[in-house]
Amino acid sequence: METFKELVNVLTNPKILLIFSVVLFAAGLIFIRFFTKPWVAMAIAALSVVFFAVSTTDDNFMEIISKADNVPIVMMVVLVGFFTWLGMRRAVKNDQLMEAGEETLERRETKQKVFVWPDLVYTEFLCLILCTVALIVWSVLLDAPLEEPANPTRTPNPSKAPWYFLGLQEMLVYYDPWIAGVLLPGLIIVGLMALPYIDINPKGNGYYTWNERKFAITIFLFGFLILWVVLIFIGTFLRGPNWNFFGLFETWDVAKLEALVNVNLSEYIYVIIGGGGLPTNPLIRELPGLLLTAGYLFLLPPILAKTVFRKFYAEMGPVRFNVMIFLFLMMASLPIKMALRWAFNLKYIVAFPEYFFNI
Amino acid sequence: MATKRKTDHAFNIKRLNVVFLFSAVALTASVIWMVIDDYDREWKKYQREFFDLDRTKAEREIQEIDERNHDAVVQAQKAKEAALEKVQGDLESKRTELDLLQREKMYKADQDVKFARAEVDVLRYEYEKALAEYRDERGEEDIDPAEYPPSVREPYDAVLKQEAKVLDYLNVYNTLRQDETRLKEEVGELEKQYTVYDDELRKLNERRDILARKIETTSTNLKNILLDRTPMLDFVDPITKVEWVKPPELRDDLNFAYAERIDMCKTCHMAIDSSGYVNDEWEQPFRSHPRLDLYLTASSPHPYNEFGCTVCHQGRGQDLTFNGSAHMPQDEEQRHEWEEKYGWTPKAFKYWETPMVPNQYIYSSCLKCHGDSWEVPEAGPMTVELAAASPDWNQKDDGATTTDHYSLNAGRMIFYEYGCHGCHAIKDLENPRKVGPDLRHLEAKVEPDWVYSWLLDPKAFRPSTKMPKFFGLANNGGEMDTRADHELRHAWNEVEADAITAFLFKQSLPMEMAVPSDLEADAENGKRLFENRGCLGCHAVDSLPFAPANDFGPNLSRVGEKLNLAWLFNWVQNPKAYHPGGRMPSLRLDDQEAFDIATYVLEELESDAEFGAQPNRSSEQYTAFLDERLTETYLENLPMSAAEAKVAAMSLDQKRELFGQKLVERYGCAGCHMINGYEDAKGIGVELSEHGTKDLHTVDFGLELHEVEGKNRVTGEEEHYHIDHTLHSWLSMKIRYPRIFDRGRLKAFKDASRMPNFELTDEQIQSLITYILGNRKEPIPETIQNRLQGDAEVIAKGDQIIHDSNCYGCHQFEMHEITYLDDDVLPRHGIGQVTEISIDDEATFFRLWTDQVLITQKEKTESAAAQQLYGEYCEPSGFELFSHLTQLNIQAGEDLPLTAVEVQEQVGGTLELTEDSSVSGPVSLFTALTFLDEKNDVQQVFGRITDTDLDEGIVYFGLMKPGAGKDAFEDLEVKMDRIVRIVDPSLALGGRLGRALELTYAQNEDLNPFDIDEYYNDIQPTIDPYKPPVLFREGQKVQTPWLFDFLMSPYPLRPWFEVRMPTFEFTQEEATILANYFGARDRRRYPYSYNAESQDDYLQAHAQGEPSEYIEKAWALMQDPQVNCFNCHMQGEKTPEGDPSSWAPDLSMAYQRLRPDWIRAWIFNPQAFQPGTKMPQLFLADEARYQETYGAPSGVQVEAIKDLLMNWAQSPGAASNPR
Repeated sequence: METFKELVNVLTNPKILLIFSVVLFAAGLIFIRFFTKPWVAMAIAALSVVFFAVSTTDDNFMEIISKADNVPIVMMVVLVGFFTWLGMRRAVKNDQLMEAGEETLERRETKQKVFVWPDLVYTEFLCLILCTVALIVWSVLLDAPLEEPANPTRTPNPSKAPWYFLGLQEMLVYYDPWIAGVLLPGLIIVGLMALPYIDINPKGNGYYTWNERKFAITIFLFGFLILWVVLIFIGTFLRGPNWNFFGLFETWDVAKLEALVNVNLSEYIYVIIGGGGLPTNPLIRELPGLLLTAGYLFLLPPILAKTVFRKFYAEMGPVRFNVMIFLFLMMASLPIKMALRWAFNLKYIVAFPEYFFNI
Repeated sequence: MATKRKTDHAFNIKRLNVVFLFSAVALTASVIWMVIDDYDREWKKYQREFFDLDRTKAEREIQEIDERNHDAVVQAQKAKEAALEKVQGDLESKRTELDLLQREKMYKADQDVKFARAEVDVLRYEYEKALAEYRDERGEEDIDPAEYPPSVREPYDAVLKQEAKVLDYLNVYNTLRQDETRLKEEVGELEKQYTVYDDELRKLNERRDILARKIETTSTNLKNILLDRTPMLDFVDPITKVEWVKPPELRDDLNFAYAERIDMCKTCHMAIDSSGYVNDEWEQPFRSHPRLDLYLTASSPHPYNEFGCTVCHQGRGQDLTFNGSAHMPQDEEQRHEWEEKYGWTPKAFKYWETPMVPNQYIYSSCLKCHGDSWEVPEAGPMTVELAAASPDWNQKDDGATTTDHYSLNAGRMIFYEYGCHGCHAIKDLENPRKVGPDLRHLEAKVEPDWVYSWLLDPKAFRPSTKMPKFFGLANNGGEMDTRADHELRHAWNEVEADAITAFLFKQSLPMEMAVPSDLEADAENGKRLFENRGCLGCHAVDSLPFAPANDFGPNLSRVGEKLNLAWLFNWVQNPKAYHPGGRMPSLRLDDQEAFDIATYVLEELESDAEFGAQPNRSSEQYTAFLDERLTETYLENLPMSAAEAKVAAMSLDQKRELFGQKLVERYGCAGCHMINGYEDAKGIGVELSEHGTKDLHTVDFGLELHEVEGKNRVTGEEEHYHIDHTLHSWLSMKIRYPRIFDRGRLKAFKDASRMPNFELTDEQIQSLITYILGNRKEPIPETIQNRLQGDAEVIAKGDQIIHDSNCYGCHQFEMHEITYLDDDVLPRHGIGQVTEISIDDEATFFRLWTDQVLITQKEKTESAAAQQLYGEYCEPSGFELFSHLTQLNIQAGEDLPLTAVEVQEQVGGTLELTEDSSVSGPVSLFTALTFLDEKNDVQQVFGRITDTDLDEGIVYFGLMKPGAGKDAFEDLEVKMDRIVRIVDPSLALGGRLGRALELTYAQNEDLNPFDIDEYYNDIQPTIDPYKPPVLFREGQKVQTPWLFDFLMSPYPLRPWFEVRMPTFEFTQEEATILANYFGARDRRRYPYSYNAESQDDYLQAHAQGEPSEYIEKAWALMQDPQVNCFNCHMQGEKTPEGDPSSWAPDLSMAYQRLRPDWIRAWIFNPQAFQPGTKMPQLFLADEARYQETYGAPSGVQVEAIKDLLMNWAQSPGAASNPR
């Protein structure tokens, strides 16, 4: 049991966890036909249940999940998994049908006509009742998670955002507040709004499909599952006192310390590689970082347009493509920065503490 | 017609119906569950339980009422009911009569009058109309009615006739009204009677009716069950209701805002403000508050509606669950009980920053409003010894208290006396002083060797010292130090102590200490002076009995080993020269006296005990440690090589001095001691002003130790301490083992804990915690704080000066008080001295010392008449005269049933008579001895020390034994090393020096002070006249301006005394406060009062005859052989004849010293002002004496003496004895 816990603690080191998640994610999409088989899903579900049941024997884990605040997260993990699987399963089925030259499931369904009553209203009514039951039971079993009066001299440790914002809070670790708190969340909203205008692919409208929309689905699922849900999971289960990482079954010890001295890119270049001191002129000092950022934002899109995304470029035209590629790069910037931080203790690529501007 | 297109169903409707069925069942079930969950809430269960229990109680009480006087009540009730019935019958018939009268007769009569009046109006109109026509005809204005023609005449007559008719009707009506008024009065009378009878009937059953109503509202009849107690239905009239109170001025501090405070505690603690729900029968939460005299009731100073609960108890007032309201267990036992019963965990109060104050510390809450007082009222005795001597000090009501509470006042006094404020600033204490001696001229006083060994372990030299121990603790080689290099650390301590000594002597400034060379020492005389001048008022010496009592100054038993003659000579002569901030006053000794005392002290007060070790400065450990520490200090800003070079360049002495300086700064020595160069040093500790609300997260629990093994300081036995994650648990460990939280941690020398160990006892620690927890940050508005003003403020400030000057050491301030029931079962109250308590006879002997025959109880009525007369003389001045004192003298043998006697102490308490305890009585009479018996259990007994055997180390302690009369003492042998504490609680009344004088006299004369015969026949009569004066009611006696002058510059009032009032060098402000203090305490005018007697024309206006003749007569009266004031009183320089033990103060000073109204009242009844005074009662109000000398009623005689004394300059005495 202890070895198992140790193993889980190692695996839930966020670096490993994130890589593991990406690998799992990739494997899931590559071997999608296999994973959408019901018995595979059942097996995974059964394994998860066993894992969960075993986990509840751990005091620390139990304390986290039994916090009234965290109950929705446990439900979220289950629901996200189930509905993602459900959607993908239908997509795969449709693909198989289309390969056989048959109609998609959705098209079949739309041919069928049913009455508002009882087919719609009755089921809605049933949902209403069951939701009410769920809410009553929930409210009887769990008290509202109110805490002590806010005290400026004594903040909770760890200070956590509401569960749905924990992904955002995780971003704050890697980026300055104006990026992590303003720019990136703003781009999420803007990007979602822009989707209908960027996405001119008519395929997949009104039916589930994987074969016809591999790129779109991959990008969306990566953004949602890895960069949102997994980050919430990390924020909830793995971030402990002093915002330190803790393994899933590791006790949250307030006194735990980690030696984290992070270094800026300029220091890497001038001090560690160059062996000298930092230039006094901030512009010269930050020149490498600025060039790198500019290259990422302005050089990479044309290169991509000529190489990997040639087909897209041709289909979408320059404006759409550039908007799309900008949003894509911004999304990619988060995992890139995380990787840099973990691998090289990189603090900022561009750091102007003089102007409170850091990237 | 289109055929209906076949439409599919998306779902199987039949299956949906099944789903619907289950959903509906689930919904119903969840709703029921919700209702039950609500019905089953913790507080609702408590309330239902309480109502049921309370109903049972009411039923039982009703049964008792019925049983107790059933017949009488029934009879009384029957009589009352019969009377009521009769009245009711009368009332009804009268009412009917009245009603008939009003309805039938009066109504008709009234109608008649109204109709007749209407008729008159009509007729008058017709007449006027006719008259006007006629007038027009005649053209005349005024016409005599006699000349009316018939046309006018007829209507005119008709009017007159009708008016007469109206009058008749009115007459009838008014006659009826008269009847009505009479009847109404009769009815009113009967109604009044009825109410009276009805009231009486109701009162007869008042209590019973209340109970009956209670039973009805809480009974489980069908209606109640349906509407009050059924889930869901009970919304109609729920029996369970949230009880809350919103104290209007209190707020909860939510950090960003203040919210109104709402306490819902009463929701569960339903009987908290009603009396009678006590211990044995009632379990929490249903008990009454144990101190309803102080709290919650409307008549108490802290009514429920204004204060609520959380203001004292803390906790979350708005929570309705046991855990959510942040209950805090008082000890481990209760914690376990709660864990089992309520699932209590420390997490219960995780989200509330101020959990409840554990019950034993509850008096800490008094501090936040009553901090102005020197002694916080009702918050416990001033010392732990007194608290231990009166274990029931906190129990006043019907015995509902279960916990031992700790005294806030004692804790505060420990903080103040041990100088905790030297390191820890605290707002509660203003202008704290440095408690330790001045070290600026240390060289002149002691040798370095002595300082070195003193520092290592102060208590080894003087067990009673307040100097704490810095070395040999949990992180530097003490018993509690569990590390392997324990020995080495112990050696390091010697380096530290040596270094501190070196630094202190380096800082010491030279001071002239010389003894006049022409003196010859007389140690014998020194001993006499030491014992009699007043040294023993503050200092104790082990070779004298009752040594531990005088603990105000240091115990002098071994000072001979420490001091040198020159220093001691200068010190006793003028202590303030060496230690300006010290408390030692000057006794105004001349050179010879000072020299004798110094010689005696140095020669006699020296023991053979081993003391004083030498540091081995050449050992490797020594130098290595010293070098390492010094290098370390330089390494902060120097490279290693430079630091090492710097250290290497220093000589050993330089190293010692430098390290010593670092240590003095590190340990904050300057917090208690004046050290040259560190006069203004700030305390090094954490500020404690808000420690009671300190955030637990900021408290260092170290490695979260939970169990600590330690040695009990008293028994020396291994003890086990459990550390909870609570503030009080932490404090208790921090004070007991100050450095225990360093255990197991790797800390640099400079980061290690440095708090010293004061080696306090358990009670002291707990009291200190009570005080520290009382310092809270809380929004208590000024309006409800008890800010002292006027008299109260003067008394509080005066109390502090009196404490700091140790006035209690010499002067007795209080007398015993007694309250008993007299023959008429009326409570009587008085002062005096309890002399003996005989358990066998169940009698208390309460005696006053007077040289008159004791007035027996039979004379009570006679003296009652006299008392009125005294009142006549005394009342105008507003004396609070214990005029009934004379009735209180209960002759020996005349018993007072013990059950009816309650002997109270001003300070202290009473002792219960129990089967196995052989002593009972006021504790102030007895010495409390606490010792360990063979089983190491702590025992406390009361009695007197009868003998000591120093060689064998045995104390013989006389326990009071029933049935032995004067030989009531039964010896108990106690080994000295088993003694925990000896307290003489009578010292609480003040006057330790008097006791010391008696004991030293007894020792010198080889008498036994604990033998009642020897004590009352020899010791007491010899010593009493030489004891410092009793200051009981001093404010009524002396003029404030005189007292001010006297305090600033004392002079001998009683020149024959050996004891001397010292010069305290009060500031003018202090002397003013102190002078006013006595006036305020005794409720007399201060600082000035108008003395008519001192005015120029007073004698002219008030003399009974010629002023000179008046004075002559008064003088003659004073010289009368039967009065003869100057038989005892001094008169200027002229001393009375006879033994000095019978002398009395100089009367020539009375006019500036005494208040005239006091003189008059005093002459009439000296005992009333100072029980036990030698002053005889020469004048009786109801009996004229000395008529040959001064033919006037005694009132006039006394008046004349007073006038003479107040105009002393004009008396023959002044002429013959100019002063």
